[in-house]
Amino acid sequence: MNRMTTPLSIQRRLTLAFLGLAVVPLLLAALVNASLYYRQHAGAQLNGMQQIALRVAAQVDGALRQGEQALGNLRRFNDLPRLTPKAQEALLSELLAQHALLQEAAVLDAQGRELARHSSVEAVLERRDRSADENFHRAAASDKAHYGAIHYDSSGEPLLPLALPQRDLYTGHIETILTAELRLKSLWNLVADLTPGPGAQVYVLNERGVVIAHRNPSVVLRGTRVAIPDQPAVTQGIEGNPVFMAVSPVQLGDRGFQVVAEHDWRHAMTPAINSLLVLGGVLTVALSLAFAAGMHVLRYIVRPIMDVEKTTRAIAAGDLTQRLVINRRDEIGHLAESFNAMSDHLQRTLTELRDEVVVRQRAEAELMRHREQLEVLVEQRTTALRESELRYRTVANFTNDWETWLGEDGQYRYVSPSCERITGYRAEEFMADPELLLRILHPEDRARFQEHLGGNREATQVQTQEFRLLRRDGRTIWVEHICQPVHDERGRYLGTRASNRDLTEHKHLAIELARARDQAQGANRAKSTFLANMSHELRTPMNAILGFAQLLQQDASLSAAQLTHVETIARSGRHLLTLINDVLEISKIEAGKAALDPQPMDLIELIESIEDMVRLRAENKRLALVVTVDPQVPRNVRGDAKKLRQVLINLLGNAIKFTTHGGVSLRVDVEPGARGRIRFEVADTGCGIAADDREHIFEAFFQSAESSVSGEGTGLGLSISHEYTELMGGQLTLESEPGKGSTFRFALPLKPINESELDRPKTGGRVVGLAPGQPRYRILIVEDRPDNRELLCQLLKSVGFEVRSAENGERALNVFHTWHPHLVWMDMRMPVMDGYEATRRIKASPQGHNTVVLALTASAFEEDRAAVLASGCDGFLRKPLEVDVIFAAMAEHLGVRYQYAEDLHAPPVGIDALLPDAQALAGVPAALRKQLGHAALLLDGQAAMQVIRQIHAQQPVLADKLARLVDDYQFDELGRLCNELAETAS
Amino acid sequence: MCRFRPGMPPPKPRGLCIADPFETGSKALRPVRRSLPFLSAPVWLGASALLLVLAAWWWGRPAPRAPMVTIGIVQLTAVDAATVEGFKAHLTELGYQEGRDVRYRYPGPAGSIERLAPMLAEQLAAGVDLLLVSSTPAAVAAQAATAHTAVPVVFAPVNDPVKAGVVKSLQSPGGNLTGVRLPQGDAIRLQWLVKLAPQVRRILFPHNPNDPSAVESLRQIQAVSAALGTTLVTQPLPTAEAMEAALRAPPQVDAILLPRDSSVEARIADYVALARERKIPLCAPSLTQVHAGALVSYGFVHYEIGRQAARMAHQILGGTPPGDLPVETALSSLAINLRTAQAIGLSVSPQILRSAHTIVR
Repeated sequence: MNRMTTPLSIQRRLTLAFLGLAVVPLLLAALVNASLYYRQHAGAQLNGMQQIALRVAAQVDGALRQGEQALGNLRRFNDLPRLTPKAQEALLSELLAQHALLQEAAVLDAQGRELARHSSVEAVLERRDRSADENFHRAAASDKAHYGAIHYDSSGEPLLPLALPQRDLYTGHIETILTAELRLKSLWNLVADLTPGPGAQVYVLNERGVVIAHRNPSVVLRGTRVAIPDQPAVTQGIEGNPVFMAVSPVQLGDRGFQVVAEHDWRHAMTPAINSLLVLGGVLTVALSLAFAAGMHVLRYIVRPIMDVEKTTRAIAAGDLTQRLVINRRDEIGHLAESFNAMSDHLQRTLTELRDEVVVRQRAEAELMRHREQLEVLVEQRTTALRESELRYRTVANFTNDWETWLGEDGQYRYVSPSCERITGYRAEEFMADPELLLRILHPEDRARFQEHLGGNREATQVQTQEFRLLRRDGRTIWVEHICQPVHDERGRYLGTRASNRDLTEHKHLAIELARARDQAQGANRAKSTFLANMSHELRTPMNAILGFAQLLQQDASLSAAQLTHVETIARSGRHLLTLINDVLEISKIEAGKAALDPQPMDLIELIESIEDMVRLRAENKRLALVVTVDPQVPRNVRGDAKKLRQVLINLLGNAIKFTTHGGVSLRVDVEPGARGRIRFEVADTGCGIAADDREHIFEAFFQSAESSVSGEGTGLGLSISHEYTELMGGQLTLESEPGKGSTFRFALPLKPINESELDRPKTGGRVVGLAPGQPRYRILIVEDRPDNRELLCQLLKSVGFEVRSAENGERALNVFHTWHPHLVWMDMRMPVMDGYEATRRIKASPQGHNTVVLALTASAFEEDRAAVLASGCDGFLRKPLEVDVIFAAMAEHLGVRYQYAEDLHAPPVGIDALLPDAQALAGVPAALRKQLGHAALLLDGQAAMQVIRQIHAQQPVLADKLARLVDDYQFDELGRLCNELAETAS
Repeated sequence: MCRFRPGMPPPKPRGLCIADPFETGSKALRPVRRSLPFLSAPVWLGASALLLVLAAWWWGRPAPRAPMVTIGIVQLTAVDAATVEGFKAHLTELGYQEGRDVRYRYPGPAGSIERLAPMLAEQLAAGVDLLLVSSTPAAVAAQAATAHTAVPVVFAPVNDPVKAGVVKSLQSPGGNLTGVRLPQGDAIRLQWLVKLAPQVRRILFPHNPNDPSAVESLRQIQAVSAALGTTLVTQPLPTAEAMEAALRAPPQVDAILLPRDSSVEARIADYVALARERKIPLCAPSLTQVHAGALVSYGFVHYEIGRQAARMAHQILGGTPPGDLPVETALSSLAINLRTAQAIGLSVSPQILRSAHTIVR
C-alpha cells in the first residue's frame, strides 16, 4: 500500500519550516562573520608590513647617511682645499680607519683630478683624473650628495659610490668634491638582520625597481626586479607569490630608494583560515544538534497521527488484526483505545465464523485422503510381487547351471531349462519323474549320492558333491552339485535348492596340467643335473688346457708363430673359463639356487678393501677414484658381504674398463626416510651407454657396442650384479648419457647391528695341535683327486690326527673294515663306487653307527644336501673347504679339543691358515709370480686362477690357498704378497 | 515496509511495525533518520564539547621553538683560536645563546693535515648543522668530507678560495661552502712601512720560495716597491738550515718586511731580536707579530674574521643557501708597536697613530 507522503504532508511542512528557521540565520551569520574576519586580518597584515617598511627605511637611511656625514664632517672641520695632498691623505686614512663603512675616499679638485686618495684595500701609487666620471659630474651639478650605481670591486665586494660637492662659502663655486666608496655589504647585513620571521621579507629597491639589498645576496646579484604598488596591498611578491606588501621610500642625496616589506599571503592567512575552519566545525555541530532535537520533536507530534492513518487504511482493506500502539495519556491515546476496542469486537465475530467452516472442511478432506492411500498401497504391492517373481524366474532360466528346487515331498518344484544342455533330458522330464536323476547317475556314484540326499534335510550349510552322469547320448560327464536345505522363519523344512554345474572340461584340463608339470619338472631336473655336471667336470679339462698352454709359453724352443698360437689358446681358454663360471653363476641364480648368506659384517672395512683393490687399476689408467662414505652409514651391518663385494667390484671394474678420461666414484650413504636403506652409487665419466642398450644391459649375455669392441667379458657381470642386488633386497638402476658417463645405483636394506654382534674372527687363533690328553683319532679321507686328498691329509696330520686315505668307495670300505676310523671324510663323486653307496654300506655295517661320516661335495646346488644326508652322512661340507670349518666340524662330531696359537693379533683363521706364506710363494717361478701380481692388480680373477693352476702342478697346497684369496676377491692381499716378495727379492 | 497482500494468511498484530519511525517520512530525510539512534542529545553535547576543547587547545598551543643548532668547529692550528672567540661573540649578539639556541663542538686544533679528515668525519657523524673551518687545508678537507651531504660549511679564513678550488667564484660560490677570505694587503703594508719610516731604502724580504703565500706576497710587493722608492733584498730560504744561516749572517738593510710565510713567521722572535739589535723597522703581516715585538703590521684580525663568519652563519641558519652567499673579504687594519718604535729610535706622527686600529704601548 502506497503511503508516500504528499508534498503537502504535515511532516514535510514542519520539516521545511524548521530547517528554514534553524539553518539560514546560522549560515548567514557565519558568512558575514568570515568576511569581516578576513578583512580585519588583511588590514592588520598590511598595517604590520607598513610599520616594518618604515622602521627598516629609517635604519637604512641612518646607515647609509653615516658615510655622507663622515665625509661632511671632513669638509666641515678641516679647511680641506688648503691642506697639502699629504695632509689630505693622512686625514682620509684616519677617516677610513674610523669608518669601516668606507672602503676608499678621495679629494677631487673642481676639474675632477684627484688631489689625494686613500684605500683600505690597495696601495695608492698615483692620482687619477676622474673628470670623465659620471658621479663627479652629477655631484658637481648639484648641492646634494650624489649616490652612484652599485658596482663590485675585484674581490666581489659590492660598493656604492658617493660624491659630495664642497663649494666656496663666499663665491659658491665648487672647490673640491669628496668621493667615497661605501661598502654596501653593511646595508645587506642590516636588511638581513631586520628581515622578520618566516614568510616575511624585507629588501631595498633602487629607482628602477631593481633589488639592491636582500637577505639573500644572490637575489641582488641576479638583478631581480620587483613591481611595487602605490599603497599597501595584496600583490605579487619577489618570489611571484601573492603577498601583503608595503613600501617606504628612502631619499639619499639625489636618489630615492624603496624599502619593501612583504609577507606571504598564505603564511599570513594560515591562523585566519584555521580559525575559520574551527568556526565551520562548530557551526556544523550546532546545526546537527539543532536538527536532531528538531526531528525528535517532529516525530513526537506527527508519528501518532500517521500511525492512526495507516492502521485505518489497513482495516479498511480487510486486515482486522491491525491495532494502534500508542501509550499516551492525551487525546490521541484515548482515540487509540476506542479504536482498538472497536477493531477487537469486529475481529472476534469474524474469526468465530471462519473457524466453524474450517473444522468441517478438514474432516471431509481427511476421509478422502485415507481412501486414496489404501488403493495406492494395494496397487504397489501387487506390482512388486509380480516384478519380483519375474526377476527370479529370469535369473534361474538364464543361468548356465542346472538349477533345481526339490520340495519336502521329494517332488521337483522347479528345474531350470539348462538341464537339457547338460544332461540331454528336458526339464519337464525331471519334473515328471523324480527318480530320473538317480537312474542316470554313474553306478559308482549312486550310493554316495543317495547317502548325500539322505543327510540333506539335517544339513544347515551349503554342501558340495562331485559325481558322474550318463547323458542321454551315452557320454559320461562330471557334475558339481551344490545344495542347501531351505527352512522358513519358523524352522519348517521347505525343500532343497540345488545347483549343478558341468565340470567335465575342468577335469580334462586338470589332468593335462598335471602332465605338463611333470614334464617341466623332469626337464628342470635334467638341466640342474647338467649344470651340476658342468660345474664339476668342465673346469677340470680347462685346468689342463690352460696349464699346458702356460707351460708351452715358457718353452723356449717354440717359434714366434707357435707362441702366438699358444697365446691364443690360453686367452681363449681363459675366456671360456670365465664364461663357464659366469654361466654357472647365472644358472644358479636362474634356478633360484643362489641363496643369501647374511652375516654380520664391517661395511666400512669392506668398502676400504674394495677401494684399495680398485685404486691401482684406476691409477694405471690415470683415472681419479673418489670414494665417499657418508658418516651416517653404520659400520656394522648384517648382510651378504661376499655378494656385495662381487657387485661393487663388478661395477667399479666395468666403470674403470669403459672410462678413459676423468674418473670413477663410489658413493655410499643412507637413504633418507624411515627405511634407512644404504645407498651405493658407482659413477664414471666413461663412454656411457646408448639408450637402446640401456634396456638390455642387465640381461644375461648382453654386450653393448663398446664392450663388444673391447672383446672382453662374458656380458654376465652386470646381469649377476643385477640379480645379486635383487637377491639382497635392492634394485640396480642405471642412468647414463652416451659420451658423458654412467651411474649405477642401488640401495640395500642392511640392518645395523651392535659391535658385539659382529662376528669377529675368534681370538682363539689358529689351531696348532690337539689339546693335551686328547685321544689319537683315526681319520679316513676318501677322495679321488690326489691333490685334494693330499691337502686334507697334510692338514690333519699337521695337527696330530692319524690319517689314512682312499681314492674311491670300494677302497674306503676295505680300509674301514680293517682300520675302524673314528671319522670318514667322504667325497660324494668318485669312480668305481661313489660316496653315496660307500656311506650306505658303512652305516649298514655293525661299526657304522659309531663312525662319523662327513660328506664333501663340489656340487653347486643346495638340493644335493638332502640326497647326501639321506644316504646316512652325519654332516655336509661344501668344497672348497675352509680350514676352520673342517676343524669346527670335527670338534662338533668327535668332541675334539684343540690347542690354539697364542698370538691374539693373528689374522682370521680362515685366511691365516690358508695364507700362502712368503716362503712357499718364493718357490714359485718369478714369471708366474709376476703374472699373478698383475692379475691381482687388474682384479682379473680368471687370469689369477690361471696362474694359480700352473702353480698347482708343483705346489697344490699353496695353489689352493691362493685360490681361496681369489675366491674371496681378496686381490689386495694377493697383490700385497706378490709385491712383498718382489721387493725382498730385489 | 508493512504491506498486506490479499490472499496472505492474516498476520499477527504487529505493533512494532506501526511504531517504527523508519516506515514514515520522505526519502530525502532517510539517511539522517537512520543515524538518529546514535545521536542522542548527551552524545551530541559531549562530541561538540570535545571538539571545542580540541579547537581551543590547537589554537592556544605555544608556537614551536626553533630547535637547537649544533655547530662543529674544525681548525688546523691554534693560531685561529681567536676566530672562534669572535665567531661565538657575534653569534651571541645575533641572539644565539650558547646552551639554549646553539651548541658548539670544538675538539681543539687538529695540529696536522692528516688529522683533519677524521675530525671532520667525527663532526659529521655527530650530526652538526653547520661547520666552521679555519685555514685553507681545513676548508679543502671539509669540502671533500661534505661532498655527499648538505651540511653548510663556513670557512674563516681561506687565503684564496677560488685558487684552492673551494668555491667556483667569489660572488656566487655555488655548493655548500662560503666564508671569509684574506685581503691582498701586502702592497699597502709596504706603503705603511714607508710612511712610518720614510728614510727606508733597502728592505730585506726573507721568504720560503716553496710557500705559495710567500710567493704571492713577494709578487704584490715587487709591483709597488720601485714606485715607493725602495729596493727589495729578497732572501729565498727553502730550508731550516738556510734560515739558520741567514739569521746568523744578515745582510745590511734599512728594514725587514716579513711575508705571509709560516716558516718565516715561526722565527718572529729571531727577527724581532735582529731588528732591535740593528735598530731597523720590522714590518709583519698580522697583529700577532706586532704583539710579539714587530714595529708595524697591516692585515687581518682573527677575532674580526670570526665575527664576519658568525654573520654568514646566521644568514645560512636563517635559510639562505651557502652557495648564494658571496665570499667576503676580511678587513685589514693597521697596528703599531710604540715600544718597538721607541727601542729603535723612531718617532711616529699622531696622524699615523690616528689611522691605527691597534697601538701597543
